[in-house]
Amino acid sequence: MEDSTRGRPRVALIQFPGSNCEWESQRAAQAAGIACDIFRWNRDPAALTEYDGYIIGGGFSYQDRVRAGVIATKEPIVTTMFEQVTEYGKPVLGICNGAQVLVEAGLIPGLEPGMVQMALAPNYPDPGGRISDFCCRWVYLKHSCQPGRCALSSQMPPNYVWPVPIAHGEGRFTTRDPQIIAQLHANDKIVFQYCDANGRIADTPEINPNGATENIAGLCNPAGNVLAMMPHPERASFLYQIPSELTNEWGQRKRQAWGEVEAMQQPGPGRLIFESLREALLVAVS
Amino acid sequence: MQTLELLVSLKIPDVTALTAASSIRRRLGYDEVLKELRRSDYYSLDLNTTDPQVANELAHELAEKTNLFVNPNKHSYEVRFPQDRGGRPTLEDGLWRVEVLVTDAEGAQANDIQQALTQRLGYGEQVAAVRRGILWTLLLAAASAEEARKIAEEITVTTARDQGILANPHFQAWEII
Repeated sequence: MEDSTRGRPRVALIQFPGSNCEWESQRAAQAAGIACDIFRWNRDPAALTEYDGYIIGGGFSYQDRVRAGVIATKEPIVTTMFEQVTEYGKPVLGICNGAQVLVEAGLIPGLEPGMVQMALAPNYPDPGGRISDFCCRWVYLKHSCQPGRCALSSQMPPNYVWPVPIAHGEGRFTTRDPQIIAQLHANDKIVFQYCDANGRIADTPEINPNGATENIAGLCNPAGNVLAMMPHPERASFLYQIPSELTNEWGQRKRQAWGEVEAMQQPGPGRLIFESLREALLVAVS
Repeated sequence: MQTLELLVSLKIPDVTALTAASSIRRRLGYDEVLKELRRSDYYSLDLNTTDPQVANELAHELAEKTNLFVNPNKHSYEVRFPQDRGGRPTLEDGLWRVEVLVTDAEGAQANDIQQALTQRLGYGEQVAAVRRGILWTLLLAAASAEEARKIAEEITVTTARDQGILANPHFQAWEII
């Protein structure tokens, strides 16, 4: 039988105990032309070196015990991934819990790789005093960095505003070191920011759902081969996943596709992240 | 004003503490050093009374009757005055016992609990403030109190990928109490 994945770049989607987004992430990656294997955390880490890049998906690795992502970070598989990413420039996409792992692993912001320079802290309670805790809803993101800055958003136009769902309780990018924020700006490392449907960025609970510093939803490392983002692009990768009630172009496309199965399978905006990953993988392979 | 500490821990094995201990031993290299790790929910209660005995009785009542702190089916609890704890590593059966309190660096005020106590459960002005955190108790094999303190700090503070687990200093505060 012919191998349908031959010639495609290969990524390992790392599965920890408690991961719960691996299957839809795999499907989104495959739809973008990536051969994607789910790689269990307790396999021989040496096998990880055979892959062109990595995805760490969402969920609750180790049940978020102690702090989201921190226990997974200490596992040998993350050590191997860290070496592959920092020494060979392989791309890695961290989504939600994957973003938490990348921050606790010192890959994001990665100004000094391996040093933990930020945190994804519990969502900030809104000024009204209501307890935010776990927040699960659709938000809008603005693609804030310049073209070519981040390999994993390369297929997305600058200032592009797109809808995507979030689902997290610890998603507030923060740091105690103001110099880090200054360097994020200076190095154009803020890839995605929470905004409204018109691209307006404001620190209000309606727009910035977790109180993240500078409305940060996604950050890349200085080399641009690591992206950590709290929202879930795999849940916005097909048109059928998009809520019909959205008021922007994506809601309109979804409504137009009603009743047409093939039209519903068309890409959603999150597909651009996986297509960017595909391009980054091809560069890494070459 | 009297301040008391309420420590609430699981009667059954605490899987969070077990997982943390396993990671500290197997991944951070403290296999021969960390002998035991326990975890408790920590509450500091500021009570509007000058009588220590009244405060102690009120703290027990809050623990047992409000259902906010303790579920008797799965929790045990301890009430103590801050001055009754060591504040530094103490020797216990040949091991150094170190208590590390981890709180939210931006404020440990448990306003939701305080509001429930004062507004909905009728404790009015008896409860002035409630703070919360996680209390980790480490039993360490160390040559001295100073070494035990140093090891506890290494285990606690996550400064790098391969260092520390219990507190990320970018949003959490910690202290040995």
